[in-house]
Amino acid sequence: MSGIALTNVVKRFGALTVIDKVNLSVAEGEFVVFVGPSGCGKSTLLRMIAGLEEISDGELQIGGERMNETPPARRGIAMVFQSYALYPHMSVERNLGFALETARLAAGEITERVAKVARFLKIEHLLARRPAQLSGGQQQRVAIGRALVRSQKLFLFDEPLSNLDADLRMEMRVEIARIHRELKATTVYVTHDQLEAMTLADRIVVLKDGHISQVGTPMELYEHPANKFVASFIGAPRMNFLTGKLAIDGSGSRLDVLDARHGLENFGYEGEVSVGIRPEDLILGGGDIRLPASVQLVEPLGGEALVHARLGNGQSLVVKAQGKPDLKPNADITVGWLTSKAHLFGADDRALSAKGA
Amino acid sequence: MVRSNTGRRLHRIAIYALFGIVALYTLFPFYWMIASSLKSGQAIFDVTFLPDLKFNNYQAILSDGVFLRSLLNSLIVAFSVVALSLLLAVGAAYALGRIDFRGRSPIMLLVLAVSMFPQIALLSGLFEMIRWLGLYNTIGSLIFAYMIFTLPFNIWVLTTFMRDLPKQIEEAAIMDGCSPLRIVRCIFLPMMGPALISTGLLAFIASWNEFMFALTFILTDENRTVPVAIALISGSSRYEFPYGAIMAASTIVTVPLIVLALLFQKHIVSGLTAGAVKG
Repeated sequence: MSGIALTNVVKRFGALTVIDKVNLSVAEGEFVVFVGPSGCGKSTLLRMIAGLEEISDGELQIGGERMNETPPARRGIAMVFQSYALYPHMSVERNLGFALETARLAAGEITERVAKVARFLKIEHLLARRPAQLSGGQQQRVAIGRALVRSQKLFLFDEPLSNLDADLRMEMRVEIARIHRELKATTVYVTHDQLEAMTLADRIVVLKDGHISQVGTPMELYEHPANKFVASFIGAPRMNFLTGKLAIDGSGSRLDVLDARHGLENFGYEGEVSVGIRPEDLILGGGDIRLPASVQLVEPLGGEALVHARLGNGQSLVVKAQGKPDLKPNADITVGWLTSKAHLFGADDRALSAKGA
Repeated sequence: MVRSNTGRRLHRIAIYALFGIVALYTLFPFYWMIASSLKSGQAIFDVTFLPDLKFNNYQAILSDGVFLRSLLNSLIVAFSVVALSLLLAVGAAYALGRIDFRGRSPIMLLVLAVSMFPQIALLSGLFEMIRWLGLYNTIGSLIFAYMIFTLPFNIWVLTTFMRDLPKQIEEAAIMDGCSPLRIVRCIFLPMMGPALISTGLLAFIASWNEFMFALTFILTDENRTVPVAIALISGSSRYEFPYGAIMAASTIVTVPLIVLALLFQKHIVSGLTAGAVKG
């Protein structure tokens, strides 16, 4: 009873529309991640679900009930904030128990539930401390604990890991995944980090300028981005884009990129296109389409290396190569790819797909 | 250039000399007051810098029922003013600092404007109000009047402080199910400790020392506060001016302020500077 349904939800600040008719449903127990660049409205949308922002238009349902006018505390929601927002003057134990105290639970039960959550998050030894005496990661655990202790069915996370360093971020990511696996609570998680989105989400919602750009599982978004924006946002390093020309050729299509060309299935589209190829799909010295290039820089990452290459027309590409390629700057190479791995985007930035062959 | 040893020593001597002058300037009146209070009878008119350590002035003043009564009145007034003005100022600060509503800045400016009127300008109008409220010649009139200068200052300081408290903490409390009242009481008040202490202390000092309103609104001895009571201490005959008793009374009256200031000195500075710099 904790699924979320958003119907034509709108948020306006004065004349400015920051969320424009968003429709989305989140199934019970699902882990959904809102991702997008800053200013895309992802946090606003989360705060509207939480009840911290009013909904200007449209309807929000939680567990099948209209929640637009319900105060935050009665929506059955627990929320974790980016800045942790722990109460600085209270001990960890009181921070955890404060919501229960507010709800006037018996002291014995509060202690019991706080102890249970502390055990679950391995923060029992910190109970007597103040937030200021904790490290960032510990504070984050307490903040999560404060959400857990209310045993709500719906969790909201607002960029919870942004203030942590890289190591801790990974550790907490694993921890959040574990919490979701064990509690199976419906979770909505906001981040600008596509890696967090890819690793945590059942489904990712990519937002841009207050619109939903695409919704899908991480692999769907990775393999079939609906538009150029999603294609460039998901995956690291970013997808490479080249300009090409698509023309109808007999029963199929023909793609021209610089001096190279290759026949394709029928796309039913003619004109300029963006050809998107992920760094990991680029092949040094192979592929259906091959282009001459010169090496700019090689960044060895250990098991693999990022090769920055420049094409004849000055455009640069990033190639992810296995091992440690023996390449010197300015060396001449060929960069190519299999056309089946390339993504084509039309003039309106939407993905083009082959007309059922 | 390396400064020579003698140069450095001279520099240091100069600094200490300056300290000495400032200390003398600020502390000598207090010393003179205490020293005089410890002299008895005619000795007060001899210019000697060492006190006699005679306590008869204190004996006299502490056995004077009127003075003790006025001391009690002063305590009641000062503590009531502190409690009431903090209570009202915290409520106002929450509204002005945390809630967006039309006319917030005009209200802030109005509050500031009120605190700029000279006391004397308010005197006759306030007198009418106090008569009309039936508070004339009660300590209630003073509590009422002192709020006029303590409240604007408290509201300003607390509003700045309240505005700078992190928004997410308030939202976390909302998610935890807190009403606005509970947020203020359980979350904001404890976080505002230093600001409350410094504004409260300043309100206390202001009402403790106030003279003009206390002189105007109070008619009879049993309702007077200490500053007026001291001014009205008279000798056994009209040709005697009881300097010794006045000095002893003044010393007694200064003590609570010094105790409070020492007790909270750490918080006063942190409270007054809070909000000046964004953390």
